[in-house]
Amino acid sequence: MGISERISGGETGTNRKTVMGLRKETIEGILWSIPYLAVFTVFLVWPAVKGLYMSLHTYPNKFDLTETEWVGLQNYVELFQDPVFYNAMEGTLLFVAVSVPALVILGLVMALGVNRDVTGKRTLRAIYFSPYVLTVAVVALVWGQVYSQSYGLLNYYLGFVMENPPGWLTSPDLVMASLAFMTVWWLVGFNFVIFLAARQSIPERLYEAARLDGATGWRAFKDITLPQMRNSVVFVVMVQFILQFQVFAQPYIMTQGGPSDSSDTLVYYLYRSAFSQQQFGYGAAMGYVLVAILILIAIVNFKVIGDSNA
Amino acid sequence: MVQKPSGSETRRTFIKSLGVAGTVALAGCGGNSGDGGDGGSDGGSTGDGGSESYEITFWELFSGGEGPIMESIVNKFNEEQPLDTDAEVTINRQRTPWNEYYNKLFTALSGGQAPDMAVMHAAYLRAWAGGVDSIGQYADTGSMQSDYTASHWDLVTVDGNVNALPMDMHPIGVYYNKDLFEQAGLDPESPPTNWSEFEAAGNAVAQNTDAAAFTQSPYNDGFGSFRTWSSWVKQQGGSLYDEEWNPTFDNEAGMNIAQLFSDMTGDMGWSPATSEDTWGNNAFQNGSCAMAMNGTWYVAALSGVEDLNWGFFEPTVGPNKQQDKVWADGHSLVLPKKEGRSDAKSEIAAQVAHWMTTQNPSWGAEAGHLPAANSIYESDAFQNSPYYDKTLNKYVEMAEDGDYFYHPKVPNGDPNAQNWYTWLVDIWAHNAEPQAGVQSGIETVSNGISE
Amino acid sequence: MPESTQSRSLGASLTGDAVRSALLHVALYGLAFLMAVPYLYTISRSFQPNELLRDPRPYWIPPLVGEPITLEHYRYLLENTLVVQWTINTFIIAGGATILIVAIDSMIAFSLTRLDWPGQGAIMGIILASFMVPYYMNIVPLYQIVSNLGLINSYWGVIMPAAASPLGVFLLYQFFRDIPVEYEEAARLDGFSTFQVYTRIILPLAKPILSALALFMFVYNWNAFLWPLLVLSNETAYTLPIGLVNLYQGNIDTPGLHMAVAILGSLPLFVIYLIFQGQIVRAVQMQGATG
Repeated sequence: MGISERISGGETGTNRKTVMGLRKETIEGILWSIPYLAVFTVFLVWPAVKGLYMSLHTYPNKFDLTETEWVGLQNYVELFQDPVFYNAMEGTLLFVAVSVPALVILGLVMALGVNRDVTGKRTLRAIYFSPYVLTVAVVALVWGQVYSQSYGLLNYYLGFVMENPPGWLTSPDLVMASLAFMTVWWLVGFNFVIFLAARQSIPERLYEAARLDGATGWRAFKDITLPQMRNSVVFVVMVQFILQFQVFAQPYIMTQGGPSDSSDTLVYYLYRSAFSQQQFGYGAAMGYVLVAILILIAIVNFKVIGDSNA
Repeated sequence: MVQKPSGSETRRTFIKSLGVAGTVALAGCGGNSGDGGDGGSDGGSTGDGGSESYEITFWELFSGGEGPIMESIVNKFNEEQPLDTDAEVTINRQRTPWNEYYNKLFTALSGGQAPDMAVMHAAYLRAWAGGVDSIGQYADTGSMQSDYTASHWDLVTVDGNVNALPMDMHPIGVYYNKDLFEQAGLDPESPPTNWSEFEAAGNAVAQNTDAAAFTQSPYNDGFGSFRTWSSWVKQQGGSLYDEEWNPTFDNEAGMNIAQLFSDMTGDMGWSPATSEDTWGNNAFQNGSCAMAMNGTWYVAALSGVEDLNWGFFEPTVGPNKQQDKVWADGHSLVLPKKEGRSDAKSEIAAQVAHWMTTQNPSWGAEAGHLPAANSIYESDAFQNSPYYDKTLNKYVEMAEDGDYFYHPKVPNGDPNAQNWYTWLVDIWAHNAEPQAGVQSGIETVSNGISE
Repeated sequence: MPESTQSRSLGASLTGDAVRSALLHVALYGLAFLMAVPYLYTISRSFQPNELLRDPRPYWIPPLVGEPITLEHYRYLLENTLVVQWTINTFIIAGGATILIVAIDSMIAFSLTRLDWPGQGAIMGIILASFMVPYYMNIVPLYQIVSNLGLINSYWGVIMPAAASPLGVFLLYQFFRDIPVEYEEAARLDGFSTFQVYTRIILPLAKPILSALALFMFVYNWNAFLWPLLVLSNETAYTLPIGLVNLYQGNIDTPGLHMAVAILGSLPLFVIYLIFQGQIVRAVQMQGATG
């Protein structure tokens, strides 16, 4: 917090009147912070605390949530014995395993391509980024028709090269990959523009110097591009892990978790538990387990990416 | 078997009660007017020069063809002020689409923000008994009973208690494509009436045309599949639940029909083994599927499709049939529990519910449902309905024959939950073996009920 | 260009470069085309009558027989659904959230960077730590809180939780911190009050980042899905994303309506994107740069 020291040392901070023993600047500082802090406390901090309380209780009367019953860790214990939870976990991990690497690598390749000597950079950027501004409902509507087994765009053309093209959303083996592919189309633009900015901020002289040393192509990429872009790669990987781990709307809208529960996900199960089965304590417990998993992923990510680039 | 409607009794009372149709005036509904109780203290009512005004918030879930009809009924009420009371009563209608409706209603209830009146499927009346006020508290249900057909009254009676007023019944039937029947060499005007004719028709379509023969539900969803499957299970004499609400549908009949589902998309070649959403709806509407099993409401969608020459037959065509049994559920109106609502307002809401369910023939005539009130059956609006000859008279006939059994009113959980019955889609689409599918269904449903 | 590499074989490398450049263009524009295919498909189908749409064969350009182009889907949506109402709702919610976010985030960022008071470091630390809390973890307790506050089915029930997001505070904090202190000192000497420093010095200097943040938050809240789905129960209060899904899952299942509703649902934001593309992209890039 260097700036505060700078200001307090300056003329503006020191010789103010005091009210009730507080410096005017302190009072002002608090007043300017209060609007956000109030919203932050009520709608972010309080729920996080309340969630812990809820996760340790059940609600015996479905129609009166003021009645609560302390159950200790029972919700958590049940969760870890719940086959639906493990199935949802499997679906989520599969979705993450397909979507995150594709989102990161494709975004990087697109950025490096556009960074080269290309005409129409702005047009390309506009198109690549554009799906990102669509709402997930629209993405689902459009891709529902692309993927449709009997009258879909994809299968019509696949019909020329193969017999009985698969049901992209109706085959238990394919459904998660299909949702992940659609998600890559939707969100890759976000990563692309971040990588593009990071690549453009690498000083060209580094490449010139490397060229003089005979380092081009893959070696320049490995020795200059990647290390220089390290921060944004770490950022994008982290953000995508966290976002994709919370996948909900795609299965909710397009498959309702089917076929055969093969596209169920953790957040979708959390949603059903709390809001259609009215098990608020169970849902809250699932929220906490989700956080624990995400923190674990964050630690692993930092370790892996940190080490490989050290 | 826990479902109530015993055939002969229902038939007699159904017909008998038709006789008193139209004789019951609205004024006879208990004589509660706005001046009873402490209406003035209620948030929804305000003193206005001696007469009061009430705003009844009303939640409903109708879309497609039904939505505009409900809207016009509410508008009619607000304009005509038909209740026998000095108070001004307005209905504030709020629609929540059906797939989120019960979630929202539930969270509103538990958060103390329930509406004054709400549409509820009869199947929910047992599980939600703790969340609704008994309508008998606020209206003379004893005298109201004769306004409704016996089977509708039976539909909303749970353990001897009536907590709701019946609005309609929406059973299922088979819709078929007459042109495809003709192409397959069948007589389009004499549709199947039993299993062997049904089987022959399906085979003829499968062999002689490019079209699929049958879809168990145009939406290809779990709940829709259950309507068809449970009807045929009951026709074979199988049960669905025992007295303690343990699912028992892994019996012989249940397994047989599950196997039949699997065969229809397998050896019989009646339909592709797909779990694609709304596959059947597209196929039936564009003339590439000959028969679709679905509810009364389907008429609205079908009448909007040009060039579709469709007919209807009763779904009592299951194999090895022991009895005529057809799945049905109905909409009812309830007064959700709400702290702070005055008795006077509840009484007004009960009257509104009575008016809605008895004075609006358009609900049956235009939405295609079986109306609850006796008087409506006699009305011109109902008899002249565009669907009367096509579907409604056959649905009435099945009611008179006492064919209907009701969607199980489970004591807990969500009786319309899609995921309770998606195992049927898995069987249909060959994602699960029939045996394993039914077993997982037993597990899912038991868990759902015990939650 | 270093002499040595060019002089070695000028001709060969020129043609090599040209080929490479051509391949690069083909790849990049090919990808752009593939990414645009769903758009073209959607636009084309939204204007086709149902008879063509039920044909498994896709028509990119409708055949010129009968009535190849129709506005019936759009007409139906505008006349029989609440699409217009939903668009207005979404504008109110996304706009309201954006204004609130920009106002309160810039105020606290100002307080944390330009004023000096005890405990501000700890507060920034807590706000930073809240980044680790995934949004969905909170939905169950948050729903109860919003319900107890009587905000279910109200715009505020959507707007307030959106305004609690720490992202804006974080971005503005970074930016405000780097504004040279000299500007402010000069202003203080001229007798500017704290409020004047905020409105006349800091906000004008921060205009680019504020507009980028505002646009990003607008897009983000326009597209929000799960939370509005939970909070808004009445159809007339829906936002576009929720309304669209309900049309989709309801009884409307003609493909032409799906496509027309996709177009109507994305058009407002797409226009905004085309106009303010630069700022929206910059807002994303700032997240990457500071993350």
